[in-house]
Amino acid sequence: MTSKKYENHEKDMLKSILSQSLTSAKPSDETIAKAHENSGINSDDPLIKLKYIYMDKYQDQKLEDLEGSEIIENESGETLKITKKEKIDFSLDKQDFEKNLLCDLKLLPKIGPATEKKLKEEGYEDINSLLNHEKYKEFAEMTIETIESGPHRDIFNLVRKNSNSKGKMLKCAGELEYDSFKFMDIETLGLSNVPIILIGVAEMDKKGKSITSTQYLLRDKVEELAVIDGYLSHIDDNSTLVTYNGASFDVPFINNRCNYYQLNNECQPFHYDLIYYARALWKDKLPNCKLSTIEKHIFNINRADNIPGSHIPGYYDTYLKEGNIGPLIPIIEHNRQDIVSLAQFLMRMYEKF
Amino acid sequence: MDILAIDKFKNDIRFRHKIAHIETLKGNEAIYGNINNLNSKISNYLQNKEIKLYKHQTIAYNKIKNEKNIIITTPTASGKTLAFNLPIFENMLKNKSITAMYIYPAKALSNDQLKVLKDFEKDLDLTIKPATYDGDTPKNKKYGIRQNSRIILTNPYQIHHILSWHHQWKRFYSNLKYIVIDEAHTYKGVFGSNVAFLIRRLKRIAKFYGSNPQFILSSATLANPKELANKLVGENFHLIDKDTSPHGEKDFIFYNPFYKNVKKNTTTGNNNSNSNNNRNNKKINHIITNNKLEKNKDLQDKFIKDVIANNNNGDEGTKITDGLSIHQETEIIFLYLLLKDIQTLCFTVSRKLAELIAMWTKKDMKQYKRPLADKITAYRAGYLASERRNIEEGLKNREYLGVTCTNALELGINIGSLDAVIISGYPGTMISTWQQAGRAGREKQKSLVILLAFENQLDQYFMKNPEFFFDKPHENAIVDLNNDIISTSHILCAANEFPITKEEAEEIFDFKNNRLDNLVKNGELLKNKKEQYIYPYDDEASFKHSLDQLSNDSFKVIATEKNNINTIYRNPSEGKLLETIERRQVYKEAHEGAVLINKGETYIVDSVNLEAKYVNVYKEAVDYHTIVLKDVDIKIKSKIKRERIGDFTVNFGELEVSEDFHEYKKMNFSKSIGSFALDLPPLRFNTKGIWFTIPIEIKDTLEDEFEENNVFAGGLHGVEHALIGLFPLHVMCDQFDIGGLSTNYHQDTQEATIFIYDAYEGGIGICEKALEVFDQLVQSTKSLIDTCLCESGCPSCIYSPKCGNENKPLHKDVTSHILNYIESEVSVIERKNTLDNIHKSENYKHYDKNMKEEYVNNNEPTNNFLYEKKVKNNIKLDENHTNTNSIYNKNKSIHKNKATTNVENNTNNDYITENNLKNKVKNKNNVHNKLQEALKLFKEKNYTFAKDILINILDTDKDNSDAWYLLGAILNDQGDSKGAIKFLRKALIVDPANEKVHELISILKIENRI
Repeated sequence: MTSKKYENHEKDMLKSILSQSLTSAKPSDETIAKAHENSGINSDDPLIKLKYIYMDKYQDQKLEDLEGSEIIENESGETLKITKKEKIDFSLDKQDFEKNLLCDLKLLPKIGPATEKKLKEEGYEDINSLLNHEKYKEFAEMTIETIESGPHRDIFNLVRKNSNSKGKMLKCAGELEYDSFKFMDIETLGLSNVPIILIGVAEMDKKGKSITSTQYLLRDKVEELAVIDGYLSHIDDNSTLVTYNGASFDVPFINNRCNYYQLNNECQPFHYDLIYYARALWKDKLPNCKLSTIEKHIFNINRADNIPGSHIPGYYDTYLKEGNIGPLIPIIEHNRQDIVSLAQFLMRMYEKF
Repeated sequence: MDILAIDKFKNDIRFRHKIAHIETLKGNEAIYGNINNLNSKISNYLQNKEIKLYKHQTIAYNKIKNEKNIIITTPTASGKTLAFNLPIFENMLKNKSITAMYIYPAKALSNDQLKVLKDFEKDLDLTIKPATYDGDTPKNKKYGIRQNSRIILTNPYQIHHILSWHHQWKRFYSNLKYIVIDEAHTYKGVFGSNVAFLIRRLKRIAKFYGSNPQFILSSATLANPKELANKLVGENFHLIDKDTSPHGEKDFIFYNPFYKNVKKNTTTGNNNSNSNNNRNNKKINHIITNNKLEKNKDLQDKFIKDVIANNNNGDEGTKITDGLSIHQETEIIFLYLLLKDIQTLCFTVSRKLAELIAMWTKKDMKQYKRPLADKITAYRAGYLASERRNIEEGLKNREYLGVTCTNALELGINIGSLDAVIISGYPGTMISTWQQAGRAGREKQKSLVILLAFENQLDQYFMKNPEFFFDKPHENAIVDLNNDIISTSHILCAANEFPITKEEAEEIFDFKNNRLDNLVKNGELLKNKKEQYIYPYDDEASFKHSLDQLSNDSFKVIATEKNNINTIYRNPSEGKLLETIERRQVYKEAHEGAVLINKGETYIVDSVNLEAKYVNVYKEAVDYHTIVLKDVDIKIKSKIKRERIGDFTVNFGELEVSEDFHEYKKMNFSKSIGSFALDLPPLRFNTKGIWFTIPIEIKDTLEDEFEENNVFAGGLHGVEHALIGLFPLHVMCDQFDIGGLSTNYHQDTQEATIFIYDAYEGGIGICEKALEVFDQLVQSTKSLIDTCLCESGCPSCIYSPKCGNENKPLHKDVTSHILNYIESEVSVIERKNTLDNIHKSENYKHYDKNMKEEYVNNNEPTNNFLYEKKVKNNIKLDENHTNTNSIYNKNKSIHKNKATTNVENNTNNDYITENNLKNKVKNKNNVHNKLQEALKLFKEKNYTFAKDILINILDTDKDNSDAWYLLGAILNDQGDSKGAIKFLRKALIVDPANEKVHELISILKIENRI
């Protein structure tokens, strides 16, 4: 049967492609040889060079020696938790938000731009005034109730469904307590069906004056469930996740890993994925909306020792094989900066709209 | 077509004498059934299409409705598909979310079925969106299929890889209600065993998402359909095997070109009446013959005369009559039928032959009836899809009259039914033969099937024993759930899908003891705090485990031009990848100097790189082939079962096989044109197999009777070949799936022994099944030898094409004598005696613990296959060691006599291996040695094996007090003091002075106050 032959062939190709990855269970000899040839501090590849610089620097250190790190144990086992606190000056200006919302008649069902225009011409300036309108009275009542006392999710959905304004959607965040924000980012060994090696979550105090990053690190692949458990202990129904591209990557990735471990992860907190708002703001102005591009062009941040995601598996593998924590250092640091600057991002983008 | 033309062949004087048997299969009227409360949409559909349901379809419908797992084994074209599509679609009409998975062994089949399902969907006005999901599915379609399709058609290879992406299939798995496995008989051997584990993985995922699918299997007729279904799925099944669809009469003709080799032409009463009928038919035929037909007949006669005239007729001594090759003979019959306007499908054993026979027939047809030449074509895998569809359609509307093909057409592809089928060479299984034969036959007309026999054992067996073929199904499809390599592979894949727990591993995969923890030790799995075992690598486990092969130990065959060979030796990537083959196959067929055949082209193996696993070949047309010679050495590692069949004992257990491929020969047809040494390390593997011994008295008798050399060895060797040759009759496998060894003396049994083993690491269940059907196997083999007319052995009886010893020595008469002996022992009705009772009280199904551990320890992951010469030497030393007394010196308990073994090299009667030659020990103190062995095993607490040996001793020597004593001691150690006392008393009866016995009895009395 050709089909079988063909599939064998296909399988073979895949096998050989897979064996070209150093982190596959059986990397091919050529892959290992290539890795050796290009290795060491003399490598032409700046990323490999960087890895060896870190390995030199950290060769005698242990993860527990890192500042703020401690070994924790939860239901799912032991893992490493790294905590760091720093100052921040965070605030979201919520002035006029409610007033602005109330001016948007389109938030009411069955009111589109045309009807809104007509109503405004008739003198209905805001939703409050519609309480006197025979037809829209009840809708207005409901909408006001939602805006004034409804759960955040409902207000957001009201805005999302009835108004096309990304700005207004983000402005909804102004309603929230600062200490409910969970700025989150993960590092993984690939795009799907592979372990998460690091989950970082940053939280602020009520006043927005300090921000604490907590990172859970996979010291060994057996700890993944403990890492996820550690992260989930930060999340409850009142949390608001803030990520960059988390809606399509980080959150489903964590869900898949929970699914893999048959872990019941019912809690799905409200989520602001800043990439949507970044696209609305800068899509036409920047070559792309990657986080690093925006950092560079908009916020003028140039990060040293940035490791692209595609190199993280290689770095992690070196750590496992050599027992040298060096390669993890830039990953941890990078992740920490990411989650802390997500807070800055949220604030700046909030202001831009 | 002239209806009566179909009967002409069997009466034609030019063919008649080669017909070994004609079985006329009676036509059947349809039996219809009724279904109550059928959904109106469905009953309207049936009415519109004028479909009346057959009874077996309604039975299947009801069983499925009652949520029973079923397996349907009615023949091709009996409406199996409709039988299960009806209830599935009906349930889908009612329940809007349920889904179903249809599994086919090949992609072509799922495409065919997709069309059927889409039509059904359209006719019922239902939204199911059936879709194939396999390697050909465009990437951009996949998401939509996962989200929306309610029926997925796929194959095991695809499932193997998509299972770990189950999170993308949440909707599908959560609602999975039916799993249909079509052509279930194709899931046997290594592939089938892999699929059985794959289904268990699939069920585990379905369970996680909250569904518990029902299974519907369809299969060709088998001896063990329920067992197969049960092993594949792990659940109980209801069998539906009674065909109630109508079909016309069919003549099934066994045609033997080697007819001169057959003792008697089986003519049954049934046949006589047939020929009477035929005579009548002939008369009618003459009456209705018109001019045109008359003209045709002339043409045909001219053609046949031409053929015969062109061939040498002075071949009285040779076996093939008329000097025709079997393939030319096939062509003549094919042409004969086509000239009679009989639409014929001709199955051949290879693609090349399909092409050749079509080409010859076209060419010859041009001389007789030119317009028909364009109605002849070959059809095979490798043709473009459009070409194939064109031929399929052409067969349906009779644009094609004659098609040659390989078994690509055997599985359910829809080409309608034809007038006649020629099967040139037994396709290897009766299932395939019946499936191919099923292509002929229309509802109302008579049809014809002609099976042409080749010279080998199986083909000739059927020619001489047609009743075996037409009797009940004999073939058992084997699925082995005990192969450690396969179960380990699937445990790793399953852990990659979800972390696995100890309970699951044991419950679902029968993965027991500390095997999971051993995988953790080897770094293949990790265990976390929640006792979950996880797959820690970031690749896909499924890619590392093929469903077709046991090991990953495969070699790449790289082809290039001859003058370029040095380049690819240095840099294999510059050559063309021809195929990948397993190590064992490299040793057998692709060693240095071998002629390797790939898609009909011959290649010469230039070199084999054992480290980098490359075989470098270049294309060259040569007129010779190569055969490899090997020495086999076997050690018994443990005995799992000991089966008494009548008075004959057959053992089943774990064997360590070492095959040393030391030489190859270049052969021009059957003449050797040179021998060449090979330098390959022996291939060593652990497997499972059966063995039995032939007592020394038989040897003595036979050596007295026949005065030649190597008489006994030749007989044993013949028995081994003939048994292996007929294995596939009872256990579905290829001859090449098993290996054998026969020896005048084997150190582990200390007797003349024949071994037959599964040629796969870990065993694949073939020999285990053979143990169950051993008596039938012996019967068939005996009848094969008895009916073969040759003088001193031929490929139809005791010659084996794959013999590693050049079919030497072989002795046909002695083979026959030994088989007679085995047969007479096997057919003795089981005697009731104490020994058998002892035997039955033991549970042989479980390995002894000690043995098991020993096995695991030996099974080091590294170098399992390569058995370096150095190691070999060590083993030899080891063996000598065990044959000396040093081990036993300390043991004074029983043996008051000196423990002496006479070790002497006996060079006379060895023929198998150099190793054996050295180990050949003629043991005069046989019983004594056995007793020592038993004692040693007893001391190692290896009771099962020790008991076996003791029973064996008592079999021949009932008055062995020490053996009775030791049995008592074993039972005592095992806590059965009553049984112990019983045996100790026997020991005392035999030898009242045995002090040891008195001692143990008094201890027992004190302990138990007996």
